[in-house]
Amino acid sequence: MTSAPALTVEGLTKQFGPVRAVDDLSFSVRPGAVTGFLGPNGAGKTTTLRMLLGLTSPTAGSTLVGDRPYADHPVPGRVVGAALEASSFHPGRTGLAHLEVYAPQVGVPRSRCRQVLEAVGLGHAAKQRVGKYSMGMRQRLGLATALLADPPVVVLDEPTNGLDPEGIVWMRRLLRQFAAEGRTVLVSSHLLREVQASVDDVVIIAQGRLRHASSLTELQARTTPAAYVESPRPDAVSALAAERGWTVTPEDAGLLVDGAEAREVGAAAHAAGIELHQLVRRDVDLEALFFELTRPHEAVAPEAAA
Amino acid sequence: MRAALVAEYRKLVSTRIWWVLLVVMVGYLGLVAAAVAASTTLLATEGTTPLRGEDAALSTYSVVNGIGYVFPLVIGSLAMTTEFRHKTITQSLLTEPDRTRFLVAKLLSVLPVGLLAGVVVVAATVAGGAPLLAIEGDGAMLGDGDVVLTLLLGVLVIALWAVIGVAFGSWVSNQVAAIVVILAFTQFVEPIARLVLSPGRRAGQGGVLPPRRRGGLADRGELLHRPRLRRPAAAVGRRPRAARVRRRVRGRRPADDAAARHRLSRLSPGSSPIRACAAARSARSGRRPCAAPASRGTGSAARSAPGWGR
Repeated sequence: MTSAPALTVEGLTKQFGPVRAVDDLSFSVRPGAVTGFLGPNGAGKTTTLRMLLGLTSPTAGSTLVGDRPYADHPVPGRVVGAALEASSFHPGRTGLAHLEVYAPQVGVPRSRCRQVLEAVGLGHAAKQRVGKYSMGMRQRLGLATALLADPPVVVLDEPTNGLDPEGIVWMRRLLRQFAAEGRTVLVSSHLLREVQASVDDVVIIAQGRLRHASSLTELQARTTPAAYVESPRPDAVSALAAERGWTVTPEDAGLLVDGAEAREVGAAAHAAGIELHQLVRRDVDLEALFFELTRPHEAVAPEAAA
Repeated sequence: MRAALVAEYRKLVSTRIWWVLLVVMVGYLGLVAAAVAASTTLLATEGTTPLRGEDAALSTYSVVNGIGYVFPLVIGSLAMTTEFRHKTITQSLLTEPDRTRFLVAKLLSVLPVGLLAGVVVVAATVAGGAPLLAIEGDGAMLGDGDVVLTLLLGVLVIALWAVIGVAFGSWVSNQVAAIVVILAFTQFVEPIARLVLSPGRRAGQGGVLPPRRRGGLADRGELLHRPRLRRPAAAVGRRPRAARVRRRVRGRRPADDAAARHRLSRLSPGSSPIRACAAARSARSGRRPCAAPASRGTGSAARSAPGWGR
């Protein structure tokens, strides 16, 4: 699976009446990596995915799976496996029957349905009606549907919703495995933390616009270290910070030192003979950066570092 | 296209609703057929209008077309609306992005179940109606060409209603709305419209709404509105004058019937002793005794004591 197709979104715009759900969005998703498609609820993630998969027609712009739009592939279900809505099952059908319904159109035999059901850990519930499934089981069934044809591209919308911690770890490992096999993997989430451990690249959108696209490493480089300090001599700490070029703001009973890691602050205070009662690491972490990037205001200019 | 057809067929048969509705349909129409058969054989009393021979058989068996069509209509519409209700339409269009192919496959996929429904429900109607017709009526008429054709067309009609159901479900995609509209139309609007649009004039029937039956004397509206004259099989041909009067009476308005019935009952009192007596009473203020018919009839009193049996 070395030649999995890339996904390309080019100038994509979708207008729902007065609402511009997606606004001139462009990004690409490379094979052999897991790309996190991130943004707060209502940012336009699902709309973008639906346009990518030919379910919604864009107002402007285009989407490509490899060299052509999704629906122009002879058997699109063999190219892209997608799980969009975790609740989109007929409750009266069994898990196995659900897969057997879609098997003919992606060109796989019935035996594959049982096989893929085992693979996602639902072998025991094959003959159970989906109405009795838990949210986590539905997520797994959705994934099984996506994997039915063993496709080179996998698109999952909020795949960790409703999964228990064990399930989240399982999903994380699975996504890593897909990437290692050379597949193109696009995973949406409204929480960076959820996918932080499994994604290589991030595409962050808010209000339908691209806010950031880069590798996760590059995003992490933008985080700034900080430390919270409590000392009987706050003036001395402030003076020390000014000397080193760190900024200081009062917080609670102590000070927040921006631009320095906790150990640097500790070493400097020790060298200057300043007594410290508390020294806590308070980095601006990815999540905070994510909130900063997706904050709803018009001034944030789209930036693409990838 | 074949894959799409198989997928749609599997969708339909992997849920329970189709056979649940089928069971209800079989039970319901079996009972209705038995009831109609009973009304033409056992239950005919003063003021009711029993049908004879082929007419009785057709009216019994055509309940499939007349009231049975609501079931395939619901099955078909559910096949489509359930996609919207449970949002499986998303997955369906992911695997089949060609909307036209999806719709055509959906329309055709209900045919097997529709035909099966047609066969079992026609069988149920015959099972419900035939015994009474055979034992108490003029026979089950299952060898009659018109009856056989009616039964076969009944199967086809049921299957086609399932296809129409899918089309309707594609138009009214909200499941609850679709069911409500179907029930309201088939159980309320349509019967009333039929009464209003065809007040006893057989020639005008079926012009606006699809015909409910073939060969028809069985229309519910007509039965309610236009009491027909009794037609004792034994008497036909024996009383040319009575037959003539009857022919004249047919085609008249209900209001004319009382007078005509009176006239007819006097011509063939043996066929309707009670009615003849009542008519005589009303005409002559009770001066005539009621025991008369047998004595002044044509000697058929023994045969026609109930008048409509064998």
